[in-house]
Amino acid sequence: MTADLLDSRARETTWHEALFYRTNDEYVAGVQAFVDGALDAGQPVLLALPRPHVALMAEAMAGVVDGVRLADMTEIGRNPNRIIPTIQRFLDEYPGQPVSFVGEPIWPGRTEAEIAEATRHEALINHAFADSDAAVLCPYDVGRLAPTVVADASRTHPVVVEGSRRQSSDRYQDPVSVWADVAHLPAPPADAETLAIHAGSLSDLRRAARRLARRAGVAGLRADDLLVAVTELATNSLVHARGAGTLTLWTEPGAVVGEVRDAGLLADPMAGRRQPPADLLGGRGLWMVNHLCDLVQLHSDESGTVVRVRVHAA
Amino acid sequence: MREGIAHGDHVCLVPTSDDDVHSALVGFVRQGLEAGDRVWCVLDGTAPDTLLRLLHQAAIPADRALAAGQLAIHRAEDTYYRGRRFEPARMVDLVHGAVDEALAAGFPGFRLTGEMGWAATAVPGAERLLEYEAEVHHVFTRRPAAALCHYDPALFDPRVLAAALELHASVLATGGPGEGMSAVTPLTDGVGLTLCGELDLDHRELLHEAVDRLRSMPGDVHLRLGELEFIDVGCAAELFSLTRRTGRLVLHDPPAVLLRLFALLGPDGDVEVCRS
Repeated sequence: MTADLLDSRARETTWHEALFYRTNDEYVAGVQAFVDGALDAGQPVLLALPRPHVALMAEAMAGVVDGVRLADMTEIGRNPNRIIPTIQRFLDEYPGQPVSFVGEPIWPGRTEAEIAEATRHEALINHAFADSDAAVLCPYDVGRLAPTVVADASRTHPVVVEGSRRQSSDRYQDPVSVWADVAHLPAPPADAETLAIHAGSLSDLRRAARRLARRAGVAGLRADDLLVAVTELATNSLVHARGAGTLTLWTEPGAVVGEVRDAGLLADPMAGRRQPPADLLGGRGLWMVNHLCDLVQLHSDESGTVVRVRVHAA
Repeated sequence: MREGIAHGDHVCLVPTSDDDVHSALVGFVRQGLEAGDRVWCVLDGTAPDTLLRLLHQAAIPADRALAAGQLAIHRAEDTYYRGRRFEPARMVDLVHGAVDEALAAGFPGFRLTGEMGWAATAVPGAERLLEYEAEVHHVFTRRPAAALCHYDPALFDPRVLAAALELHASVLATGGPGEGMSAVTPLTDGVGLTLCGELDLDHRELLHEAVDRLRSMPGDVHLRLGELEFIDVGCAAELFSLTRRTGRLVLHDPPAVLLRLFALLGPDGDVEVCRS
C-alpha cells in the first residue's frame, strides 16, 4: 500500500491526506512531518490553519520559514468555496513545480452548515487537483469533532494518517457523489420573506435585501456584498432558468441570509471555484458570490437549483 | 441621482417592460408641466386613455393642462407618419413649428416624448428613421426644447437600435426620468461616460455599446460615477475591460461597491480614482 502511494506521488498526482489528531503534540508532529517532507523535496509549502494553530506551528517551526507560508484559515476558509481557488493560486505561483498545502477547513465550533460545505470542499479537492502536482494534508481534531464529521473525512480523503499509521481509506468515495450527497439546508424560518424573480424585478429584490440587511445590522460594504450576491443569483435565474425563480430572505443573529431557487440545472460542481479568464464579461457571477459571501451553499439536480448565501455583519 | 430632463436634452429610453414605459411617460409629463413648458406625448403602443389614467393616478392635473393647452396627447399615426408615410423633413419641420408655437404662446419651452415602435414596422419611410433622429437632434440641443424617445429593444433590429442610440445625447435604461433613473450618458466635455442609478442585467447591452465605442478612442477615459448607486458584476466587468486599453481609466467619485468588484476582477492596471 505504501509503495502504491509513493508511486502515485512519483506520478505527480495529488496526494490528499487527512491527519487525525487528539493533542497539540500529535498535531505539531503530524504537520511538521509533512512540512519536512515537502521541504526536503524542495517544495514550497502553504499552511492555512485556524489562528491558534498558525501560532502553534509558527512556534514549532521557529527559524524554518524559507519556503513555508502561513495563512489564517478562518479568513481564507470562512467560506470554504474559496479554498480551492487559494490552492490554485499557490500552484500558479510555481508553474511546473510540485507544491504542498496544509489546509484545516474544519475545526470544533464551526456551524453545521459551514462543516457541510467544508466537507463538500474536501471532496472536491480530489476532483479539482486530480491532474495537478499538489500534496494536501488536512488536520482533523478527532477528539472534539462529532463522529459523523470524522466519518465524512474518511469519505473525502483517500489516505488517513493517525499517529505513525498511514493507510488508504476504505470508506473513500467518489468526490462528486459526496458533493451531491452532503447537505445542511434546514427550512427557512416562518417569518422569512419570499419574492418572485422575474424580468424587471432586480431593483425590487435589492430593495428587499437592503431592508433585511439593515434589520440584521449588516451595513456598508457588507450590505453591498449581499446586494451584489442577490443580484447575481437572480440574474442567473433570469438568464439560465427560464427567467423565473424565487428569492427568500431572512435574518439570523448578526447575519442576513438569502436563498434563490429556480428550475435551472447547474451540473458542474466546480462552478464558482475556478478563476474566470480576465477578459470574460459574463459568467463570473458565482465566483464573485463566493468571494463576497461568508457561506455559499449550492445544490442542483433535475428538480432545480438552490443557492443559499449568508453575509455576516462584520 | 440624475436631475431629470432639461432643455437641450435629446434622450433615448430603452424600456424593458410596460412599467418602464409608463413611469417614463408619467415622469416626463410631470417634469415638463412643473417646468411650465408645453408637453407633447406622441403615443404608439400606449393608449391615450391609459396615459390619462396613469396621470390621474399620479395626481398630475392632466385635464387642466390639456384644457390650458400646456399638454397635448397625439398619436404617432397623426404626427410621425401622417398620411401613412414617414417623411423625416416634414416631422423635423413639425417639431420646429411646435417649438415656435409654444414660445409664441408664452411657454418657456417645448418637450416631446415619443413612442417609436411604429418605426420598427413596415410604415413607408420608416427606413429613414436615422436621418430624422440625426436632424431633429439639433432642434432639441439648440432650442429651448427637450425630447425623450422610447425605443423598445424587443421591437427593433439590434443594429438599428444601436445606431439610433448613438444619435441621442443620452440613453436611459429602465425607470424613466426623475427618481430612480438609471442612465448611461456620454460625456460632452471629454471621452467617457456618466453613469447614474442602478446598473444591472437590464443595462448590460446598453453599457456594452457605450464601452465599445470608448475602446477605440485614444487617450484617457473618464467615468463620472458620483450618482451611481449600484452596479452588478457584468456591468462592472464591462467597465473593467477599459483597463485593458492603453490610456488611463479615471474613476470620478466611484461608489465603494464598484471598487470592491474591480479588486476582485483582477489587478487593476492603470486605474486612477478621483474624489471631488
